[in-house]
This record gives sequence, C-alpha cells and structure tokens, in this order.
Amino acid sequence: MSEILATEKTLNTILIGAPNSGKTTLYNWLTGSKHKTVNYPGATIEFSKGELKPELIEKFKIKNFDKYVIYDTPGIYSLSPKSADEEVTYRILTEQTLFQIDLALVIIDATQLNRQLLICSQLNEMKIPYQMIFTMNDVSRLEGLNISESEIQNEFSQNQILHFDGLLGAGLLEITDYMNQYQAISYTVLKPEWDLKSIQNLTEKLQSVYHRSVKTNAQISADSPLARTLKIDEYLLHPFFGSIIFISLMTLLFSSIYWISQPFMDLIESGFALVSDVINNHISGLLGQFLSEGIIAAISGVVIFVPQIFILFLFIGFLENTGYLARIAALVDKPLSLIGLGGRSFVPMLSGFACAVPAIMATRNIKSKKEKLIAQFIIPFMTCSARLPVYALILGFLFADQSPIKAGLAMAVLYLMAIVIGAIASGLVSKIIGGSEKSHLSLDLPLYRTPRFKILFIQAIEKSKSFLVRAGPIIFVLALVLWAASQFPRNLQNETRSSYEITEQSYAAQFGKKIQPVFEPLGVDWRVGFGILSAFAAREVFVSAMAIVFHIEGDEEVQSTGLLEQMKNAKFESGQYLGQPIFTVASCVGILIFFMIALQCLSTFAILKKESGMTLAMTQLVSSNVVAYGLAVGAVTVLKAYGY
Amino acid sequence: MLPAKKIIKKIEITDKSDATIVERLYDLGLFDGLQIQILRHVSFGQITILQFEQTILALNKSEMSCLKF
Repeated sequence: MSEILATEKTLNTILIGAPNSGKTTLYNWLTGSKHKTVNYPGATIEFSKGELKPELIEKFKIKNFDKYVIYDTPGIYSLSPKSADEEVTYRILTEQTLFQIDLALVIIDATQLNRQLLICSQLNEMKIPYQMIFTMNDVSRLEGLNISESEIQNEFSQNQILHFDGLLGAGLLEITDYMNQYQAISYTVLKPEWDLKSIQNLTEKLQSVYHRSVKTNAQISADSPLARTLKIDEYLLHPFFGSIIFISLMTLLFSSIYWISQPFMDLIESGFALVSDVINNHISGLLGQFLSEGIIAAISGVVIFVPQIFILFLFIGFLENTGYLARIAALVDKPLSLIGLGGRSFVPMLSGFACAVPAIMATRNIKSKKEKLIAQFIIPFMTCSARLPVYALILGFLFADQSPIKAGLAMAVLYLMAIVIGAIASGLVSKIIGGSEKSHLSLDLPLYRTPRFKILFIQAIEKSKSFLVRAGPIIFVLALVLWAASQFPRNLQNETRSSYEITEQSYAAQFGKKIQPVFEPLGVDWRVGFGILSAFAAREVFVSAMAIVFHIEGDEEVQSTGLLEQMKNAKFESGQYLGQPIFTVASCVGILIFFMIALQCLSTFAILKKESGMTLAMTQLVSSNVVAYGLAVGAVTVLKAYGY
Repeated sequence: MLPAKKIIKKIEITDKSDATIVERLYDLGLFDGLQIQILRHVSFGQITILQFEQTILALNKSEMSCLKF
C-alpha cells in the first residue's frame, strides 16, 4: 500500500480569482458535487477541496496523473491581503504547507480586465507559474469589448489563454486537457511587499496594458448585460420601489424558512417518532428507553435543523448568484451602521429570528472581523423559533383570562426588546473590541445573471452537511448527557417507580433541588429550575420538561393546557417561600427576561465554538447567562416589592 | 436625469479612512485620472453607487471621502 502511495502521481491545482469571477462555477463543473471543506490552520475561513469528476478523466486519451486534486480558494481582489479571505489565499500560495501547488489557474472575468489582471501581475512578481482562464466571454462580446489576447499573453508571458462558459460548461474539456498535459515545474515563491506606492504604480501599468489590449465598440446595444443591469437597478435600487421590493422579498424569504421547512421538520419528527415506537415495541426496558428517548431523540434534535438550514442557504445562494445580495448589503448599510454593523450583516441578523444556528453560519459572508464578531454575539438574542413555545406558555398563563390582543402585544414587545438588547450588546461589544478598524463597504455590484439551480442545491446541501458534521456530535453528546441526568439513578433490574418519580429523584432533579437557592431569587422553585436547565438542550424542551416535573402527560398541546392549570396551583414545597405560589407576574416576567437574553441553546453554542473558537463561545455563554440572570433577578425583586 | 460623470483626480487617505481603504479602492480598479459615473445614492444617502467600464461599485462615506474630484 505504501509503495502505491509513494508512486502515486497527484496534480494539485488551485483556482484563484476575484469574487464573482466564475471561479466557484468552474470548480463545480470540474469536481461535481463531491468535495469537502478545508480549514486553513489558524484561520476560520474554509475553502473547498475536490477531485476531478471521473467522467472528465475518462475523456483523457492518456491519463498522466493518478489523482487530480482541485482547491477552490476564497475570492480575492489582490494578493496584498486586506481581509481574512485574502490572507488565506495568500498563505496558501506563499507557505504551501498544506499541499504543494503544481498548477494555479487564475479565473478572470473578461468584462473586468481593467482590474482583475492585478492578480496576474502580482503572481508574476511572486514567480508563481499560472494559467489564465477567461470567463464571461459571451458578456464581454455583448458589451462590445474587443480583446487582443495575444497582447495580454505577451505582456504576462502567458501561454494561450483558455476560456470557460459557466452556464453551458463550454471550454471545460480544453481546461481538463491542459491540466492533464501539464508538466509541473519547481519554483521558489517570492514575497514582495506591496505598499500603497507600489500598488499605484502597478495599477498605472495595468491601465496602459488594458487600453492597449481592449478596445470598446462605441455601438453597444441597449439590451447589453450592463445596460440591462442598470435598468433593473433603477427599480431595485429606487429609493421607494427598491425598499418595497426588498421588504417583500425578505418577508417571502423568512416566512418560507418557517412555512416551507415546517412539513419537512414534521416529517423528520414523525419519522424519528416512528423509529422510536418501533424500538419501544421491540426492545423493552432501559435499553429500549435509552435507544428511543436517548439516542433517537438526540439524533432527531440535530437533524431537525437541516430543513431550515437548507432553505436559508438555498435562498442566500439564489440572492448571491443573481447579484441581488450585494445590493441588499448596500441598501441596509446605514440602518445597520447605527448598531455597529454593516450591510453584509443583514441576512445573518434576520435569519437569527428563525434560528441562530444557520444565522451564525451565514456570518461567514461578513468580511470585517469586527462586524462578524458583533453579529455572532448579538444573533443569539434575536427571537428564534425555539423561544416561541416558551413565550406562548408564559404569556398564555399571564393573560389567561384577558383579551388575546394583550398577549399579542406582549409578544410584539418581546420581539422589540430582543432588537433593543441586541443593539445595546452590539454597542458594548463594539466598545470592547475597539475602533481601530475603519468602516468599509467597497462592494462590487455584479451584473445580474441567472443562477444555475443545480449548483445552488449542491451548495445548500454542502452547508447542511457541514452543520451535521461540525455541530452534530456536540449536540448529540450533550443531549444524551441531559437524558441520562434526568433518568438516573434507577434500578436497572426491576424499576417500579413511575416516570414522574424517576425524574423527580433523578440526578438532574437532585442537582436542581441543591441549587434551588440559585433559582429562588428568580421567584421559582427547583422544578422550574429543572425546566430551565433542560432548556439548555433546546429552548422548546422547557415546555416538555415542565410537563414532566408537573406530572402532565400527552402531546405538546395537551401538555400546555394541562400545565396552565398546574401552574395556577403550583406552590413552593420547600425553601424560604414555602407555601407561596410559584407562578406570579414577577416570576413569569423573570422567566421571560431570562429566556430572552440567556444563551441556552447548545446547538448555538456548538456552532459558535466552531465559528469563533472555544474562548469566545465560552465568553458569550457565561456573559449572556450572567446578565440574563442578573436582569431577571432585578426585575423579579422590583416587581415583588410592588406586590406582583 | 443623466448620471454625473466625474474624473478622479487623486485617491488619498483622509481622517475618515486609512491606508487599507485606499489600497482596497485601487484593488477595485479605481485610480487617479479614471472617469466614473455617479449613478445614485442609496441607504439614506450614505452609500454611493458608481460605475466605470463594466464595473458597478457601492462605496460608503469614508471610502468616497478618499476620492478627490
């Protein structure tokens, strides 16, 4: 085996290019759907690694390599790194520690030669061999650009320039043939220091190359892609209609995260419930319970997020690939700047109202490190769908005999408060991080184009897989730990206690009772404390956990109705408030405040840890929960003092 | 109304910007002597949409402050 590995001949190819140059489209044509994401050591930026599709390899007359590995690097404007993305691409090129680059393919949008040739100039200075591939050739023809490729080839000491059409895949075989025929040469990478002066000189030189090699036909048709884009922008960026279209599209997007994903989530839930029933019917005792309520419930708790993640990323992909996402970022830059964020943070922030997990994953699109940190910090405050069952239960109790309008208004206040808290937190985090970073937007607004839906689907599947692989294990393990804590100790041979008794005497309950003094300032006893602790598995678990400790059986709806009755009569069984009612206006407000601010969701914690590391995730976990507890206790104390 | 055509005389660091922003503007294809068209202002006038050749860019106030016409 080692002999085979030793003689295996691999061609490592990397794709480099500006954002929107068609780099990832080419990558998808070359590799198909099978690729994995790679993290550069010490960086959170991911890039893709894949292998040439077998059907493309089959077309070679002689296969010159055993393996054709292709890497898709983050999009860059220049090799003088200014963002985390550019830093990663620069390090891949200069360090070559992860892999030795045999061939660099530079993808250049033929309509953007005036600026995308900069990367080639820099690669020449770094002495890295590369091959140019022009994309958007049809658009450049429609725009009336006459490009003298021989002039460019001479200027950059290049071979014949290759071409690629992203929509139909034309030019793909020429590119794969070039790769197969490629004879790797050894080279030493230079690392020039590009300061402002040298960038100015480089730009000046490139402008003269551009004007020598590209002639523009003055007679451009009115329906050229640029003219069409400018026409569409008259509506989409219109001060009034632009906002209406934008709000409508966003409403559609986020309501669809709920509505489209709901049937799939129901399907997943009932699928797992079916498996759970089958297990319960065939395997009795603790093993059956462990498999159905422990393992299956834990897997279900992870998989349940997939439909929302898939739909969100499908939509984001659609908006991005049509060219509209960049325009959204421009439209909302000002409102978001009021809370220290930029336009790029909009989609992640809004997604947070559905679920923080995909929302935090979407912060990868934010270029500024500071903005990304702020966004990741405040997204968990947004009212995600998992908070709704908790809010519904508590508001249902508070406004039980009153007009539903009051409960609705209270719900609106909770949503609004989440935004206010997010804004305050953003201001604080912004101050703590410091203000050395100047605000920058510098957005490229690409020409509008029709996306390839197959690619959008592949990318959304990739994101969903990435979530399952990265966040899945931690959610799974912690869900199992919580299950065990609520089911043990027990008699493994002959357990005669009811499920209520088991829970009531479980480690979790014992722990809850021990730390009742912690929950008492919130105006609640160990049972609500148990509910709050269980909610760390997932917020909505609060309702079912409360149903267990208040001994209610049935589905979620039955549990809620029965619970309301039990909550009215629930009294402290021990401690300083012995005999007093647990659920008062004060304690309910305390619970609401705690749920509004606390970072309880383990899935969110898992994804935060993955995106920004353990230290930041822990800081966020501790600070949010301490603040949530402090504010809730403060509110309860004040309300109790006024007799509520 | 026809978009306003302007020629960039100089790109320089201002008190609202820094060297990184100026370098980024060069990376994006802007340079001294380039003729651009200001298409519109969006986001409560904070963002300027401009066009040159086949490129459309959105710049914020600190980035625009670097462009001297």
